[in-house]
Amino acid sequence: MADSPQAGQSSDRRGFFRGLVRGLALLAGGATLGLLATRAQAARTVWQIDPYKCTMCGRCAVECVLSPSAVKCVHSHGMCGYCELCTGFFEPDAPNLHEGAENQLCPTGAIERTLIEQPYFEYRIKEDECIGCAKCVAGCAAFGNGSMYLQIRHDRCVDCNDCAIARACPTQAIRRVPADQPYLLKQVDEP
Amino acid sequence: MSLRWLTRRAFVTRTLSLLGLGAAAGIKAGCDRTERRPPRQVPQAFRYDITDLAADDGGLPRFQLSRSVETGLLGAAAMTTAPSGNLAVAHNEQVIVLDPAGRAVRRWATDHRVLALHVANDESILVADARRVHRHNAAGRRLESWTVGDDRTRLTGIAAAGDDLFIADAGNRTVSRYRGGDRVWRLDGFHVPSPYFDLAIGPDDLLWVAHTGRHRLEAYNSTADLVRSWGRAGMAITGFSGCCNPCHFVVLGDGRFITAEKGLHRVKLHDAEGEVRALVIGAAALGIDVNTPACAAEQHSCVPPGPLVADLGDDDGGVAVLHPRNGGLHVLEPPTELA
Repeated sequence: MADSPQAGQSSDRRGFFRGLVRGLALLAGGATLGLLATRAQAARTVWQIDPYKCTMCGRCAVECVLSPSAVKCVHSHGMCGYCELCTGFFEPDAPNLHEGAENQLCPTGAIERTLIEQPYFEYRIKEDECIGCAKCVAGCAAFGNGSMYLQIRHDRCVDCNDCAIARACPTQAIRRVPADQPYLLKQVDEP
Repeated sequence: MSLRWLTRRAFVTRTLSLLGLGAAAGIKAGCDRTERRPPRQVPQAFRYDITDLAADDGGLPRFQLSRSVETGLLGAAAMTTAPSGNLAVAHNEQVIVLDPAGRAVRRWATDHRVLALHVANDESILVADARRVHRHNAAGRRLESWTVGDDRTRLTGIAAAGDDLFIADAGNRTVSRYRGGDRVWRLDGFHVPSPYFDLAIGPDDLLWVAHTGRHRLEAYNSTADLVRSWGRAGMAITGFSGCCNPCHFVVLGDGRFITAEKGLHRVKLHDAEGEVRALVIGAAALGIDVNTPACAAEQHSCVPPGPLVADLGDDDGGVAVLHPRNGGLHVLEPPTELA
C-alpha cells in the first residue's frame, strides 16, 4: 500500500528534525573537543624569550597585544656585578652618577638603584613600570655581564595562539616552552 | 508539499553551510591578524646606540695599521709576547704560538680552558685555568702544576718576575704574590664587576693592577703598598668606558701603557702618567659593531670580550691587537712623533 502524502510528510519532518538535532549535537561535540584540544595545547606550552638569541631590538615593547607589554626585564642578581656605574641604569653619557632622571637610561624610570655598601649598588626592576623595551638590557650587555634580560611574564601574558611579538621577532628568539618550566633563565658562565 | 519540504531542507542546509563558511573565514582572519598588520616603529627613545661614542677619537693621533690577519681564534682569552717576539695566545684548551706575521708556529693542547698566560725569559710558559697554574716548557710539556684559591677563584691575570708569581683572581677579587709555591701576601678589596682583572709588571718592578670597577690602574710595590694610580670613568676617549675597564693592558718598556676596553672596543696609548696620547685602534678598524650584543655575536658567552693587546717589543714600537669576537689580529705602529 502506497504511503499517503500526509504519512510521508510526517516521516520526513521527523527525520529532518532528528537529523538536525544529530547534526547540532555533532557540531557541539566537535567544538567541545576542539576547545579542549586547544586548551590542552595551551596548558602544555607557553611562549618565552630565549635570552641568548634576543638582540634587544625593542619590538617586544610595541608589538605585544597588551599595553604595557607582557615582556619585562628580569635581573639575575647572581650574575650582576652590582656596579656603581651600571650601564643598564645610566645613560652612556650621563652627566652624573646619581638617580636623577636626566641620568637614567630607562625611558620609564623602571629601575630602582639602592646602595648596598660602597661601591656596590643593587638594581631592581619595577615590573609595573617596565615596558619591555630592552634598552637597559642592551646597555648591560654592551659593557657588563648581561645580567639584565627579557622574559615574558606569565602573570600577565594572555598566551595568544599567534603571539604578536614572536611573529615580529627578527631572530626567532621567542618559542614555546613547557608550561611547567615557563622561564628561560640565564646561568652564570662556567669558567 | 514535496517541494516545500525540499525547500526547507535546502534552506537549513544552506544556512548551516554559510554559517560554517563564515566561522572558518572568521577564524582565518583572526589567525592572520598580526600577519597582516605592518610592523610597528620602535621609538628612538627605546634604542641603545653607542656608535658615535665608539667613533670618537678626540682628535688624537692614530697608530698606523701595518697588517691584519684572520687567525680564526674566536673566543681567545689572553695574549702575550714571548722574548722571541712571537705571540702566545690562550684559545680554549690550547696555547698557540704565532709569529709576528700571525702564522701559527706551534700549538699544544691542555686539559683545561686557558684563561691567562705569561711567557718567561727562558720561553717557559705559565698558564692559568680557573683555579690552577701550570708551568710548561717551550715545547708545551707540562713541568708542574699547583692549585691556588678556592671554589670561587677565577684566575684572569698572571705575571712573573724572578722568583715571584703574581696572580689576579677575579672571583675573589684579590691579587696574590707567591714565591716557591707559598703565598707571600694577598691584596683584597678590589671592585671587579666582570671577569676581567688583568695585571702586569712595569719596568720599575711595580705591580700594575687593572682595578676595573674603579676605572683605574693601580701600582703596588713589593710590600703590597699602593704607590700610584691613575684613570677615571668616562665614555670620552680620555676615560675608561662602561662599568668596568680596562679589560686588558700592557706596560711598555719606557713606562707608557697600552689599554684595551670592552664595550666601546678601543685600544689606547697612555703616557707614563696615564694621559691618553693616541688611539691605537678603534671598533670600526677592529671590525666590531658596538651595538651588536655579545649574546648574539658570541655563542659561548654573554660577557662581552675586549681586545687583547701585546707589545711586540720591536724597534718600530709595534703593538699587536687580537679581537676574540672575530679572531682578527692587527699589528699597528705608532705615529712618528710617538714612536
